[in-house]
Amino acid sequence: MTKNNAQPGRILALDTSSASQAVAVLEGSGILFESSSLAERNHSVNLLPEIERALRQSGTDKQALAGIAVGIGPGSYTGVRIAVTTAKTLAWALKLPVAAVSSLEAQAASGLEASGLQGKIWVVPLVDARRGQAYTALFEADLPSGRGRADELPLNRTAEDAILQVQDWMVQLAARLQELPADKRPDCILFTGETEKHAETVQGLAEMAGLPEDRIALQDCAAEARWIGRIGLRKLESGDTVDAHDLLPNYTQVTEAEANLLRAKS
Amino acid sequence: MDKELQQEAQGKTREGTYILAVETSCDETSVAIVKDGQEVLVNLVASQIETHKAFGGVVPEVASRQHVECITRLMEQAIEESGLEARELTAIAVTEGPGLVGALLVGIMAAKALAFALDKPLIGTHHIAGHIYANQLTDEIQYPSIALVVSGGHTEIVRMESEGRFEVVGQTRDDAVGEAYDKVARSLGFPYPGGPHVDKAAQAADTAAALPRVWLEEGSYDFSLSGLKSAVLNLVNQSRMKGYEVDTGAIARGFQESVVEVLVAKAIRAVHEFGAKQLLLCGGVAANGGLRSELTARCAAENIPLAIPPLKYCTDNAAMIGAAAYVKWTRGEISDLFIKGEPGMSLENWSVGESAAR
Ligand SMILES: [Zn+2]
Repeated sequence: MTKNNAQPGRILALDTSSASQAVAVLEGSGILFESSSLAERNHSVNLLPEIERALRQSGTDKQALAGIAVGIGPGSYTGVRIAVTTAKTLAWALKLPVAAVSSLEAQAASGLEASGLQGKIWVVPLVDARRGQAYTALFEADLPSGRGRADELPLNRTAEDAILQVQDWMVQLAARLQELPADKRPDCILFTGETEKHAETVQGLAEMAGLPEDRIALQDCAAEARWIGRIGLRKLESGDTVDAHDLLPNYTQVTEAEANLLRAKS
Repeated sequence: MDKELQQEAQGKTREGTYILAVETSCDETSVAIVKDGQEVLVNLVASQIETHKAFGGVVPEVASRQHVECITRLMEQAIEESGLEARELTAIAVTEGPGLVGALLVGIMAAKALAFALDKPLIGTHHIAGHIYANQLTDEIQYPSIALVVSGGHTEIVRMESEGRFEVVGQTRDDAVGEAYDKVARSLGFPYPGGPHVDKAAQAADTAAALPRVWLEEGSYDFSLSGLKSAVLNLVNQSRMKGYEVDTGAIARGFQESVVEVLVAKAIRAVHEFGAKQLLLCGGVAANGGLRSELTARCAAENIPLAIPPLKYCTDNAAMIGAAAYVKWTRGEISDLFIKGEPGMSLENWSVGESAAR
């Protein structure tokens, strides 16, 4: 970290990739401030005032921040740009290191925490992307009963963030499951995030993979700022940071206009 | 101790108002630093024209993505080139509207975050006020004044009784001038952006196709360009159907003469009716040679002082935003951190002294 002073490890965490605007201030494993608001389409209005409030209520001097963690999507294009532009400008102007956090990873962690599930779990975050598609990824977690510290939810990524047809994604997941010997299969497959729209499709996975229906669980949730912060903090501590100028959203796909152009050319 | 050293010892910054301005309302990312609303220390513009050429027009999502890629680099470079320290800036200004909402948002979030990080006031600024106050970068505006604003997105006659007070006396009821130029250019087979091609072809042509002039009701300062545009398309289609070669030059000249005649006549009439001391030509279409020469000739014949900013301040740029923001700054009218992109923002409501009413 480039700064080392009275408030080591105190970081600001932001995410506006979904309908929920998430802001937190963390110090190590402690959450000093956390808020999430569902004021849809108002992130651009409220984000800076909320950051101001977060710092004031947590008694944090912005000059003394140790870093910024920001959700870079995927999600709403405009939404993601709001937090990313804010984070990169703050990081550049305040000379702070910034960590780019997958909004899907933070959302998966938020959902897993809220589910209270234990055992060997696959976590599949979903953010609706219309026309039967979703932004999604795949994580594995092994949570023995009586799990340890709440801030150490060990998610191992086994598929990158991508936009997929949910139906196709289920076929892929079923294939992955069927390749595994019975004793290596997860105890539960947890779909998190915007599950409602895709509930029927994801329930179909049980039959496709030959699993009992109760192995599929759904947990509606948004990416909580504390998870943006916790994942970001790990990255900041390990030096996995981005130059503020190079911080960009992860759109996972080119724009429609560019896609059309590429199609026309080939 | 001499004065300079004394100032340094007291941690005093240099004299003057230094506004860092950000403009991302369409496809240009621009950052400028302007002293006292008049002196441009630096004006950086990252143009996306090459990108959008491939699409035949501005694609909002592509524009927004490019703004995010270069916004902080431009802010950093602007501060470096100005020779100032970031803490010496007086305020941060940003285009609040009108424009493409997704594109506006990038500049607005960056400006808000910078103002917050540096503890500087924020000044949300109207894009058209910026085009008008571009004139202040090279000349002192004389009031009362009439501004003819012509660009890709705007066609307006604006009356200014005094500094920072705007009254829109006429505007387009359909297409903006620049928009009509682009559409006509496309039908004549010119690549995007087509305006300059039409202008060139018109000036080189020996004959002009007969096309209508749209004056609207008696005394109106409004414009309508969609009928003229349709007439051009009909002419092109008729030629093609009859198997003639399309006389591109004559059509371009006929179109340009129709547009220019109406713009010039209404602007001059407004100057006389409102007793303006000056006519200001602003916006990207001010680069149009046909419009410039006709307006220059008419103003000379009628003894009207005409001001046209240099081309770099006619097209979208942040220096003009810094110039307009200064008018607000001198009256203590600043924004809060709650501002957002206002795609349909009203110019009249942005007038000085109106903040309380907003
Ligand atoms: Zn403009």
